[in-house]
Amino acid sequence: MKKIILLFILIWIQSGYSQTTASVFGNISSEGKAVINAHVVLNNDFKSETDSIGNFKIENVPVGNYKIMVAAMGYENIRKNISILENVAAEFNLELKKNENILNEIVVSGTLKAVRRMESPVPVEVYTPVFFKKNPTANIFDALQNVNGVRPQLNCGVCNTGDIHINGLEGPYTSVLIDGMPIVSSLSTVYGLSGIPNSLVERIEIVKGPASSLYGSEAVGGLINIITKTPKNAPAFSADVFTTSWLETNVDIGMKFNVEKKATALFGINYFTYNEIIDNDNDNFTDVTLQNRISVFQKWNFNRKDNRLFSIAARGMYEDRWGGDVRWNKSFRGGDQIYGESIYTKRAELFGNYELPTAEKLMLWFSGNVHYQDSRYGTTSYIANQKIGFLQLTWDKKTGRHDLLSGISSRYTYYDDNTPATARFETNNPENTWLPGIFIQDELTLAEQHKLLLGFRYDYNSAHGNIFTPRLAYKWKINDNNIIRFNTGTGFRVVNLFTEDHAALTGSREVVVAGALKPERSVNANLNYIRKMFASNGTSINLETSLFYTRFGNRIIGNYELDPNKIIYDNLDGHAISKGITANLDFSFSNGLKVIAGATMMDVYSVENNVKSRQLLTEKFTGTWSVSYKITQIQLGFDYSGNVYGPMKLPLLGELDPRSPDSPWYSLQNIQFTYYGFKNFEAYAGIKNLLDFTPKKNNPFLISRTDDPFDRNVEYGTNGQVLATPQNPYGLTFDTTYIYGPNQGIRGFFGLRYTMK
Amino acid sequence: MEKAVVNTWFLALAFAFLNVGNSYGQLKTIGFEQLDSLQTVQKRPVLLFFHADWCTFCQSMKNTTFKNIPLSEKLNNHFYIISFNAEQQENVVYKGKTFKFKPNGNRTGTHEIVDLFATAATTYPLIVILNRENEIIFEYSNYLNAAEMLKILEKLE
Repeated sequence: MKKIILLFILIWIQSGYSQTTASVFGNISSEGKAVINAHVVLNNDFKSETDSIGNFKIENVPVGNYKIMVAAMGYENIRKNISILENVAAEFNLELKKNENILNEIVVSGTLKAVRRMESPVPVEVYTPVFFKKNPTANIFDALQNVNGVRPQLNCGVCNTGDIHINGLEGPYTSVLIDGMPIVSSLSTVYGLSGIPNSLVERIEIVKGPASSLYGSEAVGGLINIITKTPKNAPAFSADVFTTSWLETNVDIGMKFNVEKKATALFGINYFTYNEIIDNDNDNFTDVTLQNRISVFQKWNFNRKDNRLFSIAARGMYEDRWGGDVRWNKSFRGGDQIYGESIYTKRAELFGNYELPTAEKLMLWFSGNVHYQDSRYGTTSYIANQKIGFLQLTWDKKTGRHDLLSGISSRYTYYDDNTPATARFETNNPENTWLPGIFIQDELTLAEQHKLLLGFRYDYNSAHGNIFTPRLAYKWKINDNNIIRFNTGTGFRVVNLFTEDHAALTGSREVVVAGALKPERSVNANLNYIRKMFASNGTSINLETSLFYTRFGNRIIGNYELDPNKIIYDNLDGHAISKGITANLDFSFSNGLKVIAGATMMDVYSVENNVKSRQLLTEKFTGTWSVSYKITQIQLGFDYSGNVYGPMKLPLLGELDPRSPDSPWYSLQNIQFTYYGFKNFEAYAGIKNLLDFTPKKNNPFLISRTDDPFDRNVEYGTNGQVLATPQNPYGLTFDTTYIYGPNQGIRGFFGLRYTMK
Repeated sequence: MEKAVVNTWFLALAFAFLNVGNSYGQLKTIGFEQLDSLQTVQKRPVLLFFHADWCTFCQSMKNTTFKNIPLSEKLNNHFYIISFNAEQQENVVYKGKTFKFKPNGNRTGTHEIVDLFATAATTYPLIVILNRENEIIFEYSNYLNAAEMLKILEKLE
């Protein structure tokens, strides 16, 4: 604990001109013990220090009136008026009082809110770019596979789009923030993580479970907060280029600018390209989606009076991806000759925070994004346009033990597509949704070790009415190294199937929405314990474990099993549960060896009419680990990382489907070597998927009937069921939903990083 | 099976509680506000330790290096020690000037006073040693164990 020593000396000399002097001496003690090294001061000219038995002596002090001050580390200061008389030795024996709580004295009252992250009742996990470098990935989205309890999920076997699941909750339940500024979009976990080079990222904070009321009614799954580097820390220029033996090439460029003394800017470009047609599983379909993607990111910070915040970030993204029949090219786009899924996406975002120039801390938050998608899944086209605008004003106020945060917000969503979903009476009728809201939150310090956060939010959805979102979090800090947290809250999600649920975007099945979907509601609770242990030799161990539970009402579930040609979306008439346990262990040895291991066990199921059914494509167990070591003598780093997944229940097309109904246990493992010996350069190389696992193993095929993707030779019975015929022995249709893991075997990679300070 | 896992989890939690140790460092630290007046009374070199809440190696140093008895005795007797959270939001007054937290996003940023002592890019833990005249004579951004730090202190003397 902080112990503080305090010395403060002030002497006012009031004496006149006197030529005669005397000596001053004495003893300084406290509770019967001598105080050593105490400072005794008379005027600025006369100083002394007590010796090992607490005695001091100052000689040749001119006669007169003085202020004497005695100060010593850990004691309260003493000030006294004294008079020195001619030829009289002055003896002063003083008793000092111990100061147990000097900390209070140095706290300078500030108007800014002094909440430190670790003090927050909500558990926060922090990952630095070093962590994500262990297995180089093209973007932060893929990199998150290294984090326990966080899983980038591929939702589409041919088009390879995905979102991020935190503790089993879908992407839209997770908010993505950049430097604490939210990208308000349910697509933020799909696109919000691209374009920011690792070299500009200071760290990534992950909150699992319901966060502050600040982030709206959806943020029940968690937060991913990307903290960018300060202008001082960011390199002037950085580049990171890598390619794999499949020629997946990724280029990251980062830069910073200073505009006089007015502003600083960070600039990042990410380009990813993969243009090889590889068909290792011999189904005449591409194993991995081919793509070209460019993202441009900028962040501006303006220097203002009193260090008030004004930050703006913007990002633009263009992506062109396709997968399908190996003979496909753009001339077949949308046609019925050769099957291909082709998606063009354009997206732009602008968001930021502006602190108002007022005495009170008022913050204006703004966020807007436009998203345009032009897709063809075989002959099915899906063209959609989404625009979101968001404004929020918050007020921070700290009084006594209360730390209040309140605000008003408004969100506008425009959505239009070429499907009947946005058509009414034969004419196009785009959706316009307003979502005004108000919230208040109080973080109450009950005692030094106990903190309670209570939040309440009310939103009005112009389509669905009132939404109430309560939040509660409690933190018990047993001591610096043992912390328990509990947080709970409700979530509310209006699902837009087409843009947000990418499983719907497989052209092989028709999407059917049964009736008007009601918004999904959920209640979530997390119990979290953090323990830090330190050995005197420098080894440290961090243990973090949580228990999580979410119950959904009106759960919107796509039914794959009723009809192999359809995904039928409906509100679940019952409830769904997602619950589990997760634990993460982090060992850092003083010799530089670092080991991280995590495991999550979870159970995700729905209950309808008392029948419990397990959610498809969701595993019960996942494990992640990484081991890194740097041999300083030869400037070589070594990283070994991996994941293991338990079996998942998979969507089959019928009784005769020869594919395995469950995925096997499987593991993806990677090794990497990094050489730091060059000036400004780092070279790295390694192997991905060491065990050469692909989901094709143990299965005759992954995508069914790739030889007949337009279902021309499928014969149907009188009830619409698919008949087994000599040409179609298993009675299947074309279907791409079976993919449960990346369809890429072992491959090597090589990369170079350049940094100019 | 599930129940068993949950029970084990709670059991482990209870066990962890029993192990909760309460150890406090012996290091006597001061604030920037006190440095000037202390230096007028007795000139000493200064050890600055900049850390951040999210920096695990900083926490580790606090709990290992700075709890080392020979090192903390040496520091307590011959140095002024300032341990500073580089992301704290309270103002700091030093040499008559007020230093503030400088945000670069909502609730993220660095305190201005760090820039005064960190000449290069700041990574944490950051250890800066000033001589008796408040001049920077040593700057290092990495984990240091007690033996290494003692060696450095000896060399600087």
